[in-house]
Amino acid sequence: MEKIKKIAQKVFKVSEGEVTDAMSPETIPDWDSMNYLIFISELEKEFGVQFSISETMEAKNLGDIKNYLRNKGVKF
Amino acid sequence: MYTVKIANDNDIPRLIEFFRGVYSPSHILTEKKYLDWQYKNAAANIYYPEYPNLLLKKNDQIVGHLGLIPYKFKIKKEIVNAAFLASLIVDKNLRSHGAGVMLVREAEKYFDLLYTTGFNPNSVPVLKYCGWKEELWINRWVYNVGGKRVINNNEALEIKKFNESWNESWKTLKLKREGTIDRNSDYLNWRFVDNPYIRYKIYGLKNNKGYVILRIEKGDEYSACRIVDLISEEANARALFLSAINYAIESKVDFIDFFSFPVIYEKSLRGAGFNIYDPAENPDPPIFLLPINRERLALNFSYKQIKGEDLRASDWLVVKSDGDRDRAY
Repeated sequence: MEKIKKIAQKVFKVSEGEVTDAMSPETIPDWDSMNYLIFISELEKEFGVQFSISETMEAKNLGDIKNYLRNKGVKF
Repeated sequence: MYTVKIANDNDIPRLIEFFRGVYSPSHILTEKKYLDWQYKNAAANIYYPEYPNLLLKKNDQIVGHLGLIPYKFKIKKEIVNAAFLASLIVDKNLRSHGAGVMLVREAEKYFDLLYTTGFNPNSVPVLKYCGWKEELWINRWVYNVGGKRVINNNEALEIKKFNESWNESWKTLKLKREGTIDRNSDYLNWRFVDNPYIRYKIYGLKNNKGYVILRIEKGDEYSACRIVDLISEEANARALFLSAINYAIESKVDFIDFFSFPVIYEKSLRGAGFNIYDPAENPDPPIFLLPINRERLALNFSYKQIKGEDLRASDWLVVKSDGDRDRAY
């Protein structure tokens, strides 16, 4: 979780406390298309996985993204 | 399963339903006649009889749309396929998730140059991620009509259609412009003469070396004569601006405006009494008259060049009639 937190903090310019499973475009001002795709790409690099287009488009919040990572065998 | 496809006739009823939901039930894009004119029957539609529109589909359902107005475009000495990004919208549940990027990236496979003006700030992250040039701002020249009298001007006459002789003049005039829509008679007649919604007033120089295209917009608070396109040598431009002024006076409008990028015809504009408008000093009159929109004070501009000799920002010629910023409402 530490790695995800750090990436989220860097990309979305938020404090550690703001990184929660509920964080989403509705709650984080810097969560726009560009930063979101950068975030996805950083996670892919960090964990050696690839998100499908459906996963990328349909993740509603950080909790969904973490679930996708778990399903890909990532442990955190 | 998400896919991107080019729209055809069979998609149009569902596309119109999609527009009703994401824009409004009476939005101009819900009219098939408008879609056909602006997209399918555009003079440079490379997909014809399909529409230069990309649809993002989730299984069979339309969840995103990118509207592209295709142009033959002059970059330095070559003519390339360009498109103006006229609309980009995705289902609200997919916003901020890269759906717009998917559509823009697909468009980049088909065109050599893409550009847009007057875009919504929500599109900025999409364009930035796709590597488009940063936002530039188009100058707005304004002339206050109040109390002015008609000026003697016999160098320009009203014209109804662009013919072959215009194409001859354009061959010379375009040499001085590095980045511009190829304004041949096919383009001009499609865009202005055959426009099914707007009646433009067109004046051409008697020597056939230039034209100005005007549109009257009457809002609740203001009425305007808008110079939506103008081409000539600098030396001849003043006569065209005078034609615009006379037409504005006869039409009893409040002001004339002319959006152009970069600063072109400056001497003629100032000589005719126009000034560059500073929206920071005075937000009136708003740039979008119909409907009145007071939030957007200036017209932005961004582009991505995929092919052709590199254009610098100063090489461009961009006016209001490029794309759909001069549309019916």
